[in-house]
Amino acid sequence: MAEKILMKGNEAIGEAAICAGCRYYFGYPITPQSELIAYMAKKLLKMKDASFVQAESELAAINMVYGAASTGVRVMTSSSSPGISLMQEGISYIACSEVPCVVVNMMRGGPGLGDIQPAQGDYFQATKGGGHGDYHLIVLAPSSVQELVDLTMDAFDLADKYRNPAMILGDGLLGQMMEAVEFKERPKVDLPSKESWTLVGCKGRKPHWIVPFNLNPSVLEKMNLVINEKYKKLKEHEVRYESINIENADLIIVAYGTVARIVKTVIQKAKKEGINIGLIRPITLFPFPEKIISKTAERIKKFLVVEMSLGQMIEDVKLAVNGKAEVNFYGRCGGIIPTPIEILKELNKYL
Amino acid sequence: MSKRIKIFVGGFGSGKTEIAINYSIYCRKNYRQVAIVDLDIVNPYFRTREAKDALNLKDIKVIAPQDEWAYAGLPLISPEIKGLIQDADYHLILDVGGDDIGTVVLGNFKSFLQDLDYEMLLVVNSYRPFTQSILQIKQMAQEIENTSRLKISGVISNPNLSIQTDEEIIKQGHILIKRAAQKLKLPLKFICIDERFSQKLKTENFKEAVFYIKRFMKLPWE
Repeated sequence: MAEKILMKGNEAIGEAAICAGCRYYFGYPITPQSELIAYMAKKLLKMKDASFVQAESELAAINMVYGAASTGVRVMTSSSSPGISLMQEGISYIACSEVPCVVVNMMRGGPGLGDIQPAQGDYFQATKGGGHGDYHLIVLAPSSVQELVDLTMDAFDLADKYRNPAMILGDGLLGQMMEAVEFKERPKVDLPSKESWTLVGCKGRKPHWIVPFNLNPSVLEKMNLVINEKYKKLKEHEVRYESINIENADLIIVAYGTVARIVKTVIQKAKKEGINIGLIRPITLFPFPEKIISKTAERIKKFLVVEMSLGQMIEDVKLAVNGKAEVNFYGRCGGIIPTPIEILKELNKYL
Repeated sequence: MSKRIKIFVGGFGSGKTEIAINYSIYCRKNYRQVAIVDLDIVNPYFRTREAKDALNLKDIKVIAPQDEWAYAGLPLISPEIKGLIQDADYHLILDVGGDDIGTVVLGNFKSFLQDLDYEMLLVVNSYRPFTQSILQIKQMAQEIENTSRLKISGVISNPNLSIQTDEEIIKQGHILIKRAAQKLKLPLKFICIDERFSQKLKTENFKEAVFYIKRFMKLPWE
């Protein structure tokens, strides 16, 4: 499929997952990502050696993912904010057991049941662990439908490479909007063999164990340290970001996903007013692109973080800036999307 | 196109809402009383209700879930709709949700509609998943007819890749949709083209009527 096709973000994730070899999907519908589960049902139920289950709850779904992932197959689930909260126990178990899988969160307004409009209020949950214990997800934040495709495919590779759950963190708008996309042939990636750990029948060999616990604290500490080594490697090798105009900017905006898209319009509008705005757009939220932010803060002394939340990513930006520049914040929440004009007005305050 | 009631159906994301909005504006130029009904029980965003103010300004009645219910994501159907269907003074445009699932709602009105002056038009964009081939388009038409228990009376060609559309995309897509309409033994009513192509793609380039579309559902950065 090399020609262009017009897709909703949610559908595009589904097709990308299938292209990446995902044949197992377990989920429970929730607005605004239900098109994804519908797409997987339509496609996977017609495929050989594939399985689609609409589970009885998000808890069941994530544990089905855990089971399938333990056999080494590529497996995915998806939900939106409240549903992702329900999955946290399972995600923590999966991280502890070091089995790869992909979880998609198309965020909506919160907290609680919130509403069904787009938001970015789950940044903390996604990047800081979300469930209990010392673990992280690999978190990818697309900002177009094409990027939803590309990053979903990457998420499966990264999850396999690090034996760690990966999350696509989008929002309702990215899921619902339509853009033309392509499913390009991808270069083969060298990934580690799964043979040494998968549960696929142990006839003729010693059984493998996939366990999310150890009652001996010194062993459990070692397990934690092993997992922690992966996060160090992720920080070293897998950081991704996009930067625009950061050389001589009067002010740098840090934004991801939908908001970064809006900021690109802001940059053009500001240019007409003679204001030079730069953008750093984290594509990986974990590992976070701290080095480029830190480096930029040595030259440019004004930062503005814009989010569809009341200020979550700003904490990581501040840690990266480490006092070298002034870091301001603008955010909308509850499902309200900031307009380019509103952001332009806001940044004028700091110039 | 003189039928009093027009029902726009089609695949999910085929462009029904934009077409229905534009069509209601066109209709208002010819008739005094025009109403558009947002019957989308599937989509949570980008629905007719979002163009309500613009349409009200043009003196077009918009029937859609109101106030906090507008964002509820619930399958709400106003009792007003049945009244309008039976009111011979109103020209009525029904914007129905996508796929067979979105069409379920029409079952509600079948007994009212069947004897009235209506037509049900299938909107097709050949660049959408599940309507990319003649076979798929036929299947979509069948599923929609089965679920709505109403007959499709014509096809609307809407070939596009949103902002990445070009003239070739429109022409190629239109050829396929035309062939699908022939297979379905349905008339191709008109082709929809974004108004930005109105200079390059003129009415004389097509055998069918051309309907230029102005986009109402904009993204926050546009």
